[in-house]
Amino acid sequence: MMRIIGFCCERGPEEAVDLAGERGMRYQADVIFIKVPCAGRVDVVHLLRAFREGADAVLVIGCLEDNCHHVYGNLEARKKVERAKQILDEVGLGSSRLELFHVASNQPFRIPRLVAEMASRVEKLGPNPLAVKG
Amino acid sequence: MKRVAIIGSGAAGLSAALSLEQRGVPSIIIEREGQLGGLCGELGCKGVERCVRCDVCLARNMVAQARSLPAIEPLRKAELRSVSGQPGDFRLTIRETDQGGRRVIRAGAIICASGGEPFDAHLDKRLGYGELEDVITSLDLERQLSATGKITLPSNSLPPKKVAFILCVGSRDERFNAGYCSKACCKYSFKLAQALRSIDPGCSVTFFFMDWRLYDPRENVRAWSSGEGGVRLVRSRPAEVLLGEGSRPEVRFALEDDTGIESETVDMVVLSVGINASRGSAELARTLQIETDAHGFMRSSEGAPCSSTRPGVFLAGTCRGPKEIVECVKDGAVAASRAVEFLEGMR
Amino acid sequence: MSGDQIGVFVCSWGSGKDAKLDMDGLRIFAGSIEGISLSKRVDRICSGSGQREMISAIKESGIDRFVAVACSGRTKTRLYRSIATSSGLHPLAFEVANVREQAAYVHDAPEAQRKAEILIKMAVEKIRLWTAPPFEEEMPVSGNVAVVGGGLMATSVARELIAQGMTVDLIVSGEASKDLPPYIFRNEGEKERSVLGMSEASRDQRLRSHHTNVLEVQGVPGDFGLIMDVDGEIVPARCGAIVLAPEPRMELSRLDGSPAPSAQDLSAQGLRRIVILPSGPSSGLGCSCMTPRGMLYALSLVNAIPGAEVYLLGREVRALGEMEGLQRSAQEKGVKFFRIDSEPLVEGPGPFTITWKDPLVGAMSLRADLVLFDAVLTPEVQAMSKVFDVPIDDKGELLCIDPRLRPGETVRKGVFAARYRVGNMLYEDMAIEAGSVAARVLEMLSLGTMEIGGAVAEVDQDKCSACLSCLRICPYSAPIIGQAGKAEVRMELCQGCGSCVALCPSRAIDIYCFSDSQLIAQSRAALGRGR
Repeated sequence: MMRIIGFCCERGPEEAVDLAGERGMRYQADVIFIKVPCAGRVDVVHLLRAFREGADAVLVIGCLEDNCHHVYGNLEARKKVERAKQILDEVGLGSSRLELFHVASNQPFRIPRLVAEMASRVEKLGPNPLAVKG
Repeated sequence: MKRVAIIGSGAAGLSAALSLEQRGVPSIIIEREGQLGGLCGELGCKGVERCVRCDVCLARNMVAQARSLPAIEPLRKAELRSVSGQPGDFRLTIRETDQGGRRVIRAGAIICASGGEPFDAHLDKRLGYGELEDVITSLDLERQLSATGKITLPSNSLPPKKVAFILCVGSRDERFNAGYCSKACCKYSFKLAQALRSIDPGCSVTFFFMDWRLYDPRENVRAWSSGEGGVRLVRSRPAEVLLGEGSRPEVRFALEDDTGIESETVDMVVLSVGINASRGSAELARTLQIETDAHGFMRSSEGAPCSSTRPGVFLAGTCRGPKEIVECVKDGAVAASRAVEFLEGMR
Repeated sequence: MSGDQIGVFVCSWGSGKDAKLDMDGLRIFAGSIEGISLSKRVDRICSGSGQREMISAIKESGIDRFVAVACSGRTKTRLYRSIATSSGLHPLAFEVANVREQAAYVHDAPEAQRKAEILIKMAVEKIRLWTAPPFEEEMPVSGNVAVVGGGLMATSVARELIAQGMTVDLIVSGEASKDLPPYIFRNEGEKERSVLGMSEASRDQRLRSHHTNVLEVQGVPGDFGLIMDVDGEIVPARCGAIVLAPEPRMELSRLDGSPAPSAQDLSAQGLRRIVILPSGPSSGLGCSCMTPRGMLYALSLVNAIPGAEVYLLGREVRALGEMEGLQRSAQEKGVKFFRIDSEPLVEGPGPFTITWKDPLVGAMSLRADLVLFDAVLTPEVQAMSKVFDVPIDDKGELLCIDPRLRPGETVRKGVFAARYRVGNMLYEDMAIEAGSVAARVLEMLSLGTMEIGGAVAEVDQDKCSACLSCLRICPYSAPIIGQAGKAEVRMELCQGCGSCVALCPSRAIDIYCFSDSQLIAQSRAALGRGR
């Protein structure tokens, strides 16, 4: 079973996740969403820590560009994600395990697609070698 | 009685309910459908990665907010049957459309936010809606976007490569008693085209328009279209849409400079439908004892745009004339203010 | 230790023959987590009885925080807050495990159950590390509003506020007239003026007007202090909210920028042929248009001046909504409309010659006695932007365009902006704009109190190195450098986005309800790691 963590902004993306559920969309159970007040809350530390604790992939979901309720939190998130990706490449985990997506509150259909995208990346790269079994 | 009854849970109705809640006034929303959101609930996000300010999520977020506030009581699948009592103490008889039961609610003031209706494009027979499969309305397109985020042709489920937008369908048209401009269509058509081209930059778009009336004058469709390539602006009201080559729709139109008639064959024609008064609005007006105007919209009192012709009954949103979404939100807030003032005056 | 007095309430939604989740199983699972002193099934939480069960259970058990295992918390925050308060807990001492939308609805049975267990574990670990944030539900606010601007929009907003019980300080900057009402569009009729009832406003005791500039803004939303310069004396004014209503030049103007003459003046001067040009690219409009304003003015001319020939030039006829009929009325009265395909060339004065390209005919030219611009010029907002600390957007206007901020709000809490540049820009549009901005202010102030605090950021002063990163990143200007030379986050302004927390190089800032330790604990719980 894969382990995918999704940091999900409580404005647009969380609403999209809830709506996806309400509308009966389905996606893999391997993904767990963690709510944050804004994608800008997410720091490099949180991303890397998730991998250290065994996540096979991590996604950060913020609002659409130009639509962050906190003006540019999603741009701040991009900077952190870029930095974390660099480190992931440097340590050999692979930067494609981490991604930032932009989703609006009324785009619930994107949630299953993002999850599937990350799952297929994990299938290509294999499980997180840092994950301690047991 | 310090409670307001709101008819309709679209952008205007929800905005009014939320504003009232912040002012300490509880409200009860009478919604005909099984879910809140009104027409906006059927519209889709037209941004793909980047927001294009279509404002649909603004309306959507109000649904979530309204549901979280105990001071707002939504009645779904409920229809207003009659109103008795008087301003300050109205008795509204509601019919629950599911079980057929009746219920009487009391309210000190009423806000009519019953909305408008998109023009029925079947009525404009020369445009082929209902005859040609790939001629759709803007609302059909919105529903696709809202459900899946993808745009496909009804005939073969493939994405279109060439799309024509015909603006002012059912607006600026005396044939349908709609000699007014529907205000929102240029804006939403522009955003739909932006969405189409974000999803597929290879999709070409032609606009057939009469005047560009983007609601926000700071937006510039000409700058967008000249920068993009594959966007054509034709100032012409097409005469008809026929079945053309390869069973694709063909748009026939007179050239801008009046030198002749041309045809353009496309994959999909989108009819940008205007906003009419809803079919039930005449009866609703009678029930509320308010007046309507020549086009069937609820008439505002002189000098007070969100007040109806009856004290204690206020108006918000497209029920009083075509509007775009942010206007409906503002209307709701203003109607709420009028209702609060009225209730204070009643004490 | 208080972190170990956690209760879990499992809703009875989802029970029944087609239930996917074993809610009782979840109750047992939750009860087995370390530190859970109470794990209980309750009736549906959205029902009165479910809420009452929770409240009495909390009171009896002595837990100081709880997890609700139920549907999405988005539609229930107020409900949980009131349950917490009624039970004597801090209003924010709860967490929600959404086992419906995020488990039962999207996965099949055995996976949904497993996921629900993980979600419960995450919520427990998060609430375990929760510390009570500073939170005031009813901070008193001033019922006075400062409205800054000398024009029609400002007085309309003022009138709306006064009619609904507020008092207003109307602050009109130096150049505008000292007579109230400060500004009337000279060519409009009485009907339009009555829509806004300005003359009523000017006589009301609750309106004080000052002809001055604001030098500085102090205080916090709900209790601002404005420092004004009145004839050399520094005068303070307190207010709960501020409305900025910068006035653009909205009149028709001559080529030199001076206001267009009225129909009476023109008649007296014997001018007959008037051409009205659209605002061109220099004014910032997206397209050059024949506007309702221009059409109304043209109508006033043909009505007042026998033999007048009035021409409107423009690319689009920008008559939105019901204004559509205006073009027809104007044409019936003899006003001529010309579509142009290029920027018209004006030569003159005395008399003027205008040449342009018509899409049908080609080159056209007209001679005219008078040429006017139908222009809407962006208001001068630089000074306002600086004093009130509201950023300017890419079109040169005060920033308040995020669709999820309600229309009228800016990024500065308590500071609102009334804008002209939408719709037809006629009086009804203005009345609605004024009314809706006033409504926002009333939403904030009319109950006399407002809520502050909650999930806000806080600086550990010992760790702060005063690098100013947080000041630079915050969109709300919440951080300041305090007396001790270290950063402080003003909770009255903080909106809890957490960007400063993520950015601080000294890791000196954390945020309540979404702290670093909480997020990490949630990650670990999600990945099946122990405490």
